[in-house]
Amino acid sequence: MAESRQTVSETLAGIAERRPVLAPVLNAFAPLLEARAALPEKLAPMLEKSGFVLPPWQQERAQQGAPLLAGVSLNGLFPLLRASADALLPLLGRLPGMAEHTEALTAFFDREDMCLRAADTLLTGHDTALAEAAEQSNIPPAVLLFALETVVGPVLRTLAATYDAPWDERPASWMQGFCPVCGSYPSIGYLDKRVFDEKNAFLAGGGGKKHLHCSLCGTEWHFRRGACPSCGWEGSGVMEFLRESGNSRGERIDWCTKCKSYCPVVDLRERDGTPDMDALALGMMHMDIVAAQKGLIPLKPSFWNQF
Amino acid sequence: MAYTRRSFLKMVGAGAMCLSLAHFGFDLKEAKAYATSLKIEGAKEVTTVCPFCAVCCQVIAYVKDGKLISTEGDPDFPVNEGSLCAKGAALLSMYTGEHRLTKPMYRAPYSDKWVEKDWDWTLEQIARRVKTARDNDFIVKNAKGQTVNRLESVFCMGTSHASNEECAVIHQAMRSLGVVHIDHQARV
Repeated sequence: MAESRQTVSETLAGIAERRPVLAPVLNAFAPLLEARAALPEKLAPMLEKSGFVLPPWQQERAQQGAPLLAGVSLNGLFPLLRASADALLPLLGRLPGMAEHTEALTAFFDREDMCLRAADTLLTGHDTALAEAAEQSNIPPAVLLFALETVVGPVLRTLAATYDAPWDERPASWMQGFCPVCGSYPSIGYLDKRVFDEKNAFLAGGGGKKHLHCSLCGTEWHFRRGACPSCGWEGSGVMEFLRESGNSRGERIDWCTKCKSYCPVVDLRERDGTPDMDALALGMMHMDIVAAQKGLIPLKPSFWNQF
Repeated sequence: MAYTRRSFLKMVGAGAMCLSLAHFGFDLKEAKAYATSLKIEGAKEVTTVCPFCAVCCQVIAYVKDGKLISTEGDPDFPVNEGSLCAKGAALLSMYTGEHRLTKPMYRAPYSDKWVEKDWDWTLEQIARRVKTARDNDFIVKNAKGQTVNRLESVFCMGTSHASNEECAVIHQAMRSLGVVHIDHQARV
């Protein structure tokens, strides 16, 4: 996206101004979100020095639905994970109810073998391994998963940023509702803005293409408007949306009439600036409450959409 | 037991391994009351085709309770990629316009008044007049005495929105009557 985005704090300040009732939650998580957003820039030089070989994008694998990092070990990335943990764990520890786990989490991310194995687990999805690691470290599994996603996310963002979005090149090779880089589900999506085309001012650049934003590595990829990213069902009338009447500023939830899952989406054609997507995902918590009341299931479970 | 990425995501999806704001000690009573107080609207996204010209731009129609409430170009359709011309962009007004005909209207010869008719009457009139025209004007042989079996007083104007199969059926129907003047309408 050519247009520069608002920072985390700008996005959260805008939301808090419009919806003061969400301010306590937004203020509590703002430092962590800001630090996460700033980390990839600091980690990029470390990635270059690490000697980690970036896997090449392969059209054939992508067409079969295999994310870039499927089967790839993160060996060699411990310095980045360590740096990420050093920056984020103190902030995580300041969150209400997390202080008691800080020591165990710090010890966990100090151990290269545990840390790398858990990071690989996050990518491969070996849940029993994650539960075992949590048990061995005396950390509740949900807390370890939250900490892992917090710490591993910026490292994967640094990796993902080295690619020039080959997943969006035409003809499209990536058709899935989960991330082409790490395989995680999106936390939010957006409909892109109109683009003015001088040569074809009236017949091009209408905008409105849907892009999904990965909850873990921040990768964004194009996804069909008429398809459900969860069950893959595609067709006329499959997707419906819900939004606040008259005051939505493009914020809505797109939900599937087949599987009842939903994903928050912002229509950027209805806004002046482009918000930080991770901050907005948290700031659309009111729509998550609406969705929960209607019995819908979040595509990507996060701490702000579990009630 | 071996788990796959998908089964793991499903488990996480069930919220079994996910923290909630309650774990962080937040009381969401006010936030929930706020969300409940919001006036929420929604609509179904239905894809359809612009009826105007042969480009056949695809359109996303927003439908609520069976009624069209908004339209926009379909950004995923390769032909228009979300764009619509001035006529296509005004599609909703064609649907909601007070001048839109929703029932057959008939003006009798030499009359200056339109009269509402039902579809049964209208279709029967069309069939009767086509048959009358054919009975009166059907040409069996041309000036050279060659058999031609044609009807020159009826003209078929098609639609750019007919599929290949529909066009084939329309074509065969017209040919069976002997109609030779047939236009697909794609250029209009």
